[in-house]
Amino acid sequence: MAARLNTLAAHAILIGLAIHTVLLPILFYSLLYIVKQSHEELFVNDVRKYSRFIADVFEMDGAVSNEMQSVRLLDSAVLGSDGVYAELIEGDRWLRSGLLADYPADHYKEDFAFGQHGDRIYFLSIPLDIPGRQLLLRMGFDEQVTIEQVKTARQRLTVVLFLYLLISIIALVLMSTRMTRPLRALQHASRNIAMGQHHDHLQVDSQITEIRELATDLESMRAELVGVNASLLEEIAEREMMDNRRKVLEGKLRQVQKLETVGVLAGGIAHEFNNILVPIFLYTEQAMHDLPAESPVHAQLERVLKSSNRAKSLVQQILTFSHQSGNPEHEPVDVKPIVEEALELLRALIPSTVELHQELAADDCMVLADRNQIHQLVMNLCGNAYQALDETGGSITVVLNRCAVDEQFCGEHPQLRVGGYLRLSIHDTGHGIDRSSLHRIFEPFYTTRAVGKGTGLGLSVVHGIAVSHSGDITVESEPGQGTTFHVYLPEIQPHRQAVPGHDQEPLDTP
Amino acid sequence: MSTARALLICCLGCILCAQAAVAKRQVVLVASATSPLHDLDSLELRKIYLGFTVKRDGKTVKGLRNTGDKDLNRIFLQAVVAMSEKSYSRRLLSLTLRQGIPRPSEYNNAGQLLEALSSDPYSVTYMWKDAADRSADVKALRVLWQQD
Repeated sequence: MAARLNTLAAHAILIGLAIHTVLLPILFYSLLYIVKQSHEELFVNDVRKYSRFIADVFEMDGAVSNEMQSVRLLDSAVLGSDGVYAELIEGDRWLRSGLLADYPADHYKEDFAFGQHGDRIYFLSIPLDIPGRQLLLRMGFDEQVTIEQVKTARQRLTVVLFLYLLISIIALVLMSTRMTRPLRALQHASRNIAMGQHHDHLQVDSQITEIRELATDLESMRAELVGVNASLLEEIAEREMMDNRRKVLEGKLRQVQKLETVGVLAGGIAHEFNNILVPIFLYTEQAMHDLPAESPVHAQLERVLKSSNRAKSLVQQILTFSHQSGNPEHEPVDVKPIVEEALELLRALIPSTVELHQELAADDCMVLADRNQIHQLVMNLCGNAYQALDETGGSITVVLNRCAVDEQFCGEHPQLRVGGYLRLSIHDTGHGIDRSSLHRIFEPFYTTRAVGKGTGLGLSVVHGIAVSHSGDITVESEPGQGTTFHVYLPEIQPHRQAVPGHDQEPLDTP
Repeated sequence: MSTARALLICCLGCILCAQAAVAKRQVVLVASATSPLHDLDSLELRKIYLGFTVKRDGKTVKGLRNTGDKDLNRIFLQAVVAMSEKSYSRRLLSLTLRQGIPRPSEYNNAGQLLEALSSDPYSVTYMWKDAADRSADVKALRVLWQQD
């Protein structure tokens, strides 16, 4: 209830009522006073004029000389107005109109104003100007008629003012409601904006200038707010994207640093191990040379030499991963024939349940590389793919194409530089790699296979080869969907610029 | 003897005073004591006070209003012009505006009224009879109103 009374409409109505409460009684009594004065003044004027007229008749017609005529004239005076008394006096003698039984002559008190003496009769006397006689005309007129007229006027005035009050209240309610309607619309729209519905336009249909201007100002503020809000949302989204990208980069950087650390450690161990292997090879071969071939010790030494070779191979792989595998001969090579050669070898190894597809780009896919290491890279990746399909079967797809590396991609792969690259993609439809393993697959000796079924160095070696060729390797895998490795190698084509869109594919940022 | 005479004189004085006290008040039409005017009838009087021309001996008779006494004014309105005050004012205004008839001069000071009356022998005014009787400069022409 209190809330309703505190509304603008209620205040307007209450103010209107208060004003009417004060002004209406003043108006009522003022109008009543004017009406009363007017009626009374009219009455007094009429009776004075009428009496004077009767006196003139007496003075001019000589009616006073005849009693019968005088009485008739007095009767006529009473009948011609609201007269209640008419009398002609000369000394102790008098003549009266006999029309009114209740004659008020005994209460005669001359009046000079309406309502004087409170007898409700207006008495007045006029000396008649008749030579030789001292005649006095007395007349009385009923004031009650005028009093009733004033009462009627008062009642009508009351009704009119009551109707006026009623119409005023209705008008006040309607006007205050109409005036506050646009304000309520503004309030509704403002609340919507406060609740986040910024796109509701503040449209107010009002003739009131202040309300129209307020709506215009609020609409401007809303539009500005929407703009600011949109730019803030955009900024937040951009920051979130940057934050995510930063996290990804940090993860990758940590991975690269970890691999480098592991590489340095493993390289150091491999070097020392290689130094140990050198006398083993020398003395084993010397001992074998000194012993006859049929000696049982010779056969044992052969086994030692065989194991030493395996150890040498292992050391070589570790050195390759740690980029310390001697001095690889980097020369301009066409990658396509190397890939084709490796795939030819692979076809002989894989069972018929595994299909091998190849989509190799045009010739002249030149990179500055060690031919043997590229061959090893292809064989390792395809070997991994084949092993993923060993039990279930499926397909391996090898794709070689050109691509353009942009700044964004470089940001995510710090080893790469903006320019043209060859991308070698090996996709298998195998069981895929789970997310936790995906981050560790390039670590040396990390394997998901059973013990004895792999050294865990294959992908580490591939990573080492890619990085040592100023390239990089990425992996995409979904468990049950298969795995795709992308190897990026910088293309060398002095006569061609690495411009995206030539026959290069743009990169999809993972 | 002298005491008896004094008592007699006192008694006569008291009787005269009592007679004067119970005497009915009258309003009379007066003019200057030297005025040649003798009488004006009620119609002429109304004409004069409404601004119409009434002539005596070729001279226009002027009506002067005595507004110094409220009761006297009310009696004048009722017994002489036979109108209410507002109606009389409206009538004068109407005549002034329509026909250029001048309004009667008004005096609320008895001295000024008598002076104006003396200065023009063809002017008349009204006053209480006892006041007229006290002044040697005026003469009563007729009774306009008499208290019952």
